[in-house]
Amino acid sequence: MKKTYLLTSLSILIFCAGASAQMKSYLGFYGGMSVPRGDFANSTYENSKSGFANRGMTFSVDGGIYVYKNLAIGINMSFQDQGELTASDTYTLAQGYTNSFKADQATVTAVGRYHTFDILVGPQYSFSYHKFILDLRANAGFIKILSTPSLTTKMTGVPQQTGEIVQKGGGGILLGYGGNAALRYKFADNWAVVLRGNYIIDKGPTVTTTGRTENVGRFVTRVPMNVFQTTIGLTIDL
Amino acid sequence: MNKLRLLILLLSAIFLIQSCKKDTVSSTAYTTAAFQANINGSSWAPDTITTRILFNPDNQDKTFFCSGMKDQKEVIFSIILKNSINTPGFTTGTYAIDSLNGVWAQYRTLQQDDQGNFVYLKHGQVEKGSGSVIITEIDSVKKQITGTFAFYSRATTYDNDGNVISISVDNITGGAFTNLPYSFSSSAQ
Repeated sequence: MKKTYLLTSLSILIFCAGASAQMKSYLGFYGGMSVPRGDFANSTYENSKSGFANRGMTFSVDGGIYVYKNLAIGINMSFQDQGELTASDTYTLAQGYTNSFKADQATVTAVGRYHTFDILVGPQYSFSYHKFILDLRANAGFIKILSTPSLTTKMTGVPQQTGEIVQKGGGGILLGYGGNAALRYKFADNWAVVLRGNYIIDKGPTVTTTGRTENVGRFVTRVPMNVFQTTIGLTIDL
Repeated sequence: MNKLRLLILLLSAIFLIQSCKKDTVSSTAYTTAAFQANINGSSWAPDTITTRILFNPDNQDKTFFCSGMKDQKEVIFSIILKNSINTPGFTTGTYAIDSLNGVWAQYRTLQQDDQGNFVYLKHGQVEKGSGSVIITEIDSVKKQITGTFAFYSRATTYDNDGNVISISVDNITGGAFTNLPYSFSSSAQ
């Protein structure tokens, strides 16, 4: 443990050693993978918060405006696609509905994808060492739900549930928060390549269900969203 | 700045491609109930099931009887095994529906009888050669029976002159009973 502390302290000292000058504000463009986590990634019928989200692409425009030496205000605007339900997911749900409603058969149809757009702002501190810059940021802001999958379930053999059950996620704007760490490498005077890890969490869209006349089985009211993104990008100093 | 423009253009193109892709995914799951069948193309799993084996000491025969009822539909089949002994077991094998010699099946639906009461009545005739019951496994200690069945029931409507007006066929396919508990009794009929 002592070795770990020593190495960590040494690293911070090395970075801080070159951190005295006012750093240049920058603008960057990022692309990469957005991976759902927790309930958002869960794909079980029994968990009423499971989102059945999948890995998808994310694109973002990100900038840091340095207000005092290494301290900046970071702004991130990003789009995330967390995919759509797969055939395996809809089968899992259909199986669950069949069992819990004691139905003869159930058909689940999913349409649509998880799309969100975020605007997150927060304080950022940058450590520089030669051509490398490590940015650490905590941020919070707004998350616009652009679309969520809607599910239609149709069952036979359940006299109390003859109609379709339609489950739809709401849109709207939510509060979200998270943090990220980015490592920039300056390969030219004003340009740098970046590798970034970004974590975003929000309480997720409310889900409305219509047509459910038999009060058994899965009932979803909200799907919390929780993603970790790994992106690469290019930044240009302003 | 040209590089920057190119980058923005590329990101926008990917964004648009991602936004436009919207598929419909659909899956159907069927019941895993111990007793189930497919009636006229729809999966059906009865919620009221009766399964028993009855030994008749007078005739020295054994009758396997099974019925399932749900949604105003009832499926019944029965097998009489001659020259049997008084044990809870039953001979496995394929039993073709012959109606006359002790292997019969019926498809019934809830109908109004002459007195105005709603009762389960035969919906057509299950004739000889119209199907079979296969008993694949029986555990006479646990009293559980496993097998499959399939048959069709044909209803023919005639006019006053005896001419056929219509024929309707109900197909009971993919029937299965898996480890279905049964009762055993021995009594003269």
